[in-house]
Amino acid sequence: MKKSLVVHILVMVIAAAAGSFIASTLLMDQNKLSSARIKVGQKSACGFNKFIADVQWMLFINYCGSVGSIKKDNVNEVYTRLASIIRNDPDFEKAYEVGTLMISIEASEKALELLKIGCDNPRLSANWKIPFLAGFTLSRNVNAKDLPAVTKKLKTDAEGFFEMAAKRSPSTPERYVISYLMRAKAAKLGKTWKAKGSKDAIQIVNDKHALLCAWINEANSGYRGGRVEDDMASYSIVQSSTKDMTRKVLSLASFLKEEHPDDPNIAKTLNELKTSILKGQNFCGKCLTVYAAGDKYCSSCGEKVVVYGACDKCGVVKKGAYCSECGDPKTEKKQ
Amino acid sequence: MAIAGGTWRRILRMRVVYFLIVCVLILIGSAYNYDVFSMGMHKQLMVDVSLVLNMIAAILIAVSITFEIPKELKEGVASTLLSKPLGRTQYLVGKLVGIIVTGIVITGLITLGFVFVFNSAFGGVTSSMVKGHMLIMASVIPMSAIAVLFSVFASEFLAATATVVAIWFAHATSSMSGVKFLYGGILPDLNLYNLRAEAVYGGISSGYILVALVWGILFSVFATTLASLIFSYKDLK
Repeated sequence: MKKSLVVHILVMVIAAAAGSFIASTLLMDQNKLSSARIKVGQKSACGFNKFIADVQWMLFINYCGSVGSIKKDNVNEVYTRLASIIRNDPDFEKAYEVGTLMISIEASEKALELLKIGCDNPRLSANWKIPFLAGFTLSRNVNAKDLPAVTKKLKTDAEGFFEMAAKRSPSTPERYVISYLMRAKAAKLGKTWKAKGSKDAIQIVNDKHALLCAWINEANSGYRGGRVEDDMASYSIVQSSTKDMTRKVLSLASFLKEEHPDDPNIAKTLNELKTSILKGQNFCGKCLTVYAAGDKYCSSCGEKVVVYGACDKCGVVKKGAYCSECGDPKTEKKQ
Repeated sequence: MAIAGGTWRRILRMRVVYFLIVCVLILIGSAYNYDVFSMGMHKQLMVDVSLVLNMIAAILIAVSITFEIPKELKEGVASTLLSKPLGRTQYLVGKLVGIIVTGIVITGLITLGFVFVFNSAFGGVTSSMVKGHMLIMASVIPMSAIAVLFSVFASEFLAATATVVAIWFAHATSSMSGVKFLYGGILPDLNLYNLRAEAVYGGISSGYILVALVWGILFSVFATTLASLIFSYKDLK
């Protein structure tokens, strides 16, 4: 065998072995960079998928403009175009945010299928709008009878999506995100509610009642504020992002009390509220507004309230162990 | 080096090359007008257009060598060159280096043009955008090696077609990543240079470019050695 042939073969073997090793390493790095890449048809388009997605997006806009509105007869075409864009560029945020919204009424399950891809894409983990849209579509546009099957397929429910959206929000979540999350939690309660530590189940009267029960549950959860890392298990995004939680619960409770003054289930819920969240607080018996020390009447409804924190002798609000006005050391009146 | 210099000087002396670069830059700049048509995605579109056009330019440059080598072999120019104290391997390496330099210069000019156009239109070119272009510049190395390999045994048209087809399929070899030695060693994976989405959204590291460059060189060594082996058994006029 010629010497040059041996050298050639030797060089080829060494280069191929080293090249193969490096290529495998690079492929792993590339997949780490974008896990969605392995799932898409990157190979078929000579690496031009990203550009093809842009062109498809412009054609999609053009098509949507030509059809006027998305109806049953064109929703499949819109979905196919949208799915193709997402296949070519799984990081295309606008396709999820705008495109899926277009088909969310006529083909909610297909819209959810695409939104789920966006939610699961690690490169879009900072996007809260996609899970919010998924939660919104799931809670608003999917028929109640189809909901269990859709939820099972998606492996999460509306609450899960809204919670994901709230947790992904860059600072404090938008108020409507929390509001939708609480509504989803309320919808999950079903027809009865049992307070934490209570044996009796309360019949849920309506959506507002369910919402109040959900808020009470949230307020009674273990989280007491602070950093997420400190207490991950009991961390509640609702508690950490709702500043005036008690006021929110009270206004809801007050509304229900006014709307259903004789309903025993509402009364039971309000009693539960008084013994849990409002425990130790002074509130108006009529409208449930919390009042300050020394107040004789409710500032919200004008109802006479039991005075607390005031001196028995002169009626001035006590600041310490002794009255600053008359020096009376006696204990204050309690509710 | 004389062969390499001859190759890249010949291509870079062509005025049509610069005309094409200007056309490419005009096309990149035109993406700015697609703001309404793309629903405000024109910034992303400009980056994508630039990357695609730069990639096409890189492929065309690599393919251009498939016309040069078979032509020189057919017309006997190569025989004249090889009659001098010059080995066949040196001839191929010279051609490869020449086309790689040409490719890097042209894709580099497009990259610079893109940076200028993007900065004028939007400002704030990110490092990932430049790195995406740098990967395309680096991809010229293995693509040129593929072109040289086909050039030594096929006719001009066949070599050009085979190179384009090979480049196309080289973007799909990652499915064979489980087959050691074959994947990346014998079969090239040009998808390793495809971080076009990441160029737009960010996330390309300098280390990755460096390793990709090393892989490109190793594959070129393999392909050029194979080409040289085939070339050594070829009868020249």
